[in-house]
Amino acid sequence: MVKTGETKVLKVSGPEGGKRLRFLTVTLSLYAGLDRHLSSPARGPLTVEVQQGLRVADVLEGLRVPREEVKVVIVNHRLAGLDHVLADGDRVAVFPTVAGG
Amino acid sequence: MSKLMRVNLSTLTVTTQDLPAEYAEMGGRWLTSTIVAREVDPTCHPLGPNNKVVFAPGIVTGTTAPCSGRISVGGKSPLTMGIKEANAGTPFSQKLARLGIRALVVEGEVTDRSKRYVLEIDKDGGRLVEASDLAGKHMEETFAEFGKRYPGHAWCGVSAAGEAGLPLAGVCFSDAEKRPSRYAGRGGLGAVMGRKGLKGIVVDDSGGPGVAVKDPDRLKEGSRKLADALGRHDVTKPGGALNSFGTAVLINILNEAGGLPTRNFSSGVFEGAQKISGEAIAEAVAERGGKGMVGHRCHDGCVIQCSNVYPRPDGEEHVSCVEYESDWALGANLGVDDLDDIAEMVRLCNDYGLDTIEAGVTLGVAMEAGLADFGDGKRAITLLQEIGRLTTLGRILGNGAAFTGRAFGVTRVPAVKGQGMPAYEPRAVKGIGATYMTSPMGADHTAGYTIASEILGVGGKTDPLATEGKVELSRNFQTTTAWIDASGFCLFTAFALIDIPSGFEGALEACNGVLGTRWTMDDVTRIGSEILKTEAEFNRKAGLSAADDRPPEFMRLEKLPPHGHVYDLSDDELDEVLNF
Ligand code: SF4
Repeated sequence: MVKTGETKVLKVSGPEGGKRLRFLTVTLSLYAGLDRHLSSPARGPLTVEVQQGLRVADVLEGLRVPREEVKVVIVNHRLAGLDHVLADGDRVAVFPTVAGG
Repeated sequence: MSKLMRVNLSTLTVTTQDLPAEYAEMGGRWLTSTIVAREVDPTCHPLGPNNKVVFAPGIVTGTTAPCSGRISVGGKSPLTMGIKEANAGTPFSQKLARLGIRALVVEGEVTDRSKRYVLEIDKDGGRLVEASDLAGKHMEETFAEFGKRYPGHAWCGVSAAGEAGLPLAGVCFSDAEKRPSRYAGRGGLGAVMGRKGLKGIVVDDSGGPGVAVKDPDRLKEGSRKLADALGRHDVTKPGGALNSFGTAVLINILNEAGGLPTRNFSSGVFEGAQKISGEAIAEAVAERGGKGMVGHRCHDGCVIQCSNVYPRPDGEEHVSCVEYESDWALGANLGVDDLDDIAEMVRLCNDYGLDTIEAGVTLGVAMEAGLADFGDGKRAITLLQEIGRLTTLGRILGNGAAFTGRAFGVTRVPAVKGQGMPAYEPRAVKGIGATYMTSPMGADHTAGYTIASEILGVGGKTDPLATEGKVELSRNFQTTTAWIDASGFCLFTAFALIDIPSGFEGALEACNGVLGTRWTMDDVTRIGSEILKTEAEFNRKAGLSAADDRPPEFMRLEKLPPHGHVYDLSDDELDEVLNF
């Protein structure tokens, strides 16, 4: 298991397989148990190389994180949607339903 | 027949009467605030003989309804100088309710200041017993002593800090395993109780009549519907967010949203957030083994079980519990990212009888003043120990964040009506700011938890940084919350109530079953606004005004990273929040 703060590099490409396309680098944190869907769980942040033009949803699909478990997506400290198109250097945080007080 | 018990520390008498008819439908906060408003002179000194401490279980407390073991404690606050209701989950409340006691009013004060008393309550009534040997003892020792004298009872008590009249002191209740860990913490009601000479209250419900229930079938059906909703909702279900990670699961999401107050409210992002998160707590529990656990409950009958027992490195128990507010107040707010230091500070607060939120906000101000460096957890621990030893510095800190700010000339004091702000930055989450500024309680997140909608996406989604719609959002949350605080259901049921209509129906039906009423959602609004009006009226008579419903000035002036926002709901907007 990858511990807090360690970095893991994953590569997510679109349907064209990424040939001749530019890749961006984003950091991704999967919180509150969502990391259990990874082949080796990591309480982030992960460094992910992503083919240009992909959305948060595509990355999650590539990592096999079920969409129905995702409740909140935050990109660069702002609430965003699954269809947010990723830009180089984005800080992406993904949460299931959480609450407290 | 339901009862109202009065305890007078001036005359050392206890009387029990039938619950007056006008209180028949009231419980929890509704009852404490109504009694305080009727019986306490709003201009009295909160630590003097004319203030009272009122205890009231919720309407359904003591029944089989899930998550219903809550108790409200009310009085005039020595911190805010306005009305106060603070509540906790504890077997104490269930036992009081099962004896048929719907309200307990503590009045007067001891004439001999060296004397302390314990109030014993059982099926035969109540009696004051001298316990002056417990004077000056903190909670761990006090509860250890109660364990010997009253093994079958549930307890509450106050620490030496409460006896000394420090507004950081809360009323401490026993949890399911009788730890001194469940606090009606905010606003200094422990100081009010302590100054009266009442060290503790012990309750044994054996042989008691049980809760009077008008329509048992309706109660059963309501409880079933509510339990079903709690069991289905992702937040409250077994293995859900609260059960698996505790409330500190919020650390990361508030941090990512830029709304986690850091280093005395100077940033909304804490670089050490991961290390103090609910995930990190769960990991420590799993790795260290032994006595640590998540999914702990504060009282039997809670199905959500949001509490935890945090272990020491060797697996021995360190403290219960490291929950979000305490974790943040003594962690991110101080720049501290070491969970073991945070756990030690929570343990000290539990032992010294202190509200962890006010303690953390006060230490943040003290660090701003240079009494310690941000990030220095060890020094923060020694500052807390000053409070425990009641040194001169400890007494300054023990008066709270606003007082400490004045003592050391600090202007960045995150407080409203003298009460320190909880773990959500108003400049990054505008609706919760509306609640902080306008709640009759002073800065209190539980009074109207707009975070559900602004950050968590529970009960609809709103943009945390926008001001539009936040007046109504805060008003609606404050109104519904006032009703929930009367019902006796833990506020954490609200996530399932808001999202699952049959869950709210169930909660209403359970109350209707106990009371024989026919309440609908309209009554929730009616009762909630009545409670808020009663509280606001008390505050007005106590001398508070619209000028007290304002953010601290620095939040209007200083732009908060990372969003660069100031607090920008206008004064006029704030004045509309509770303008029913
Ligand atoms: S959800 Fe948490 S605070 Fe509420 S009753 Fe259960 S254990 Fe206590």
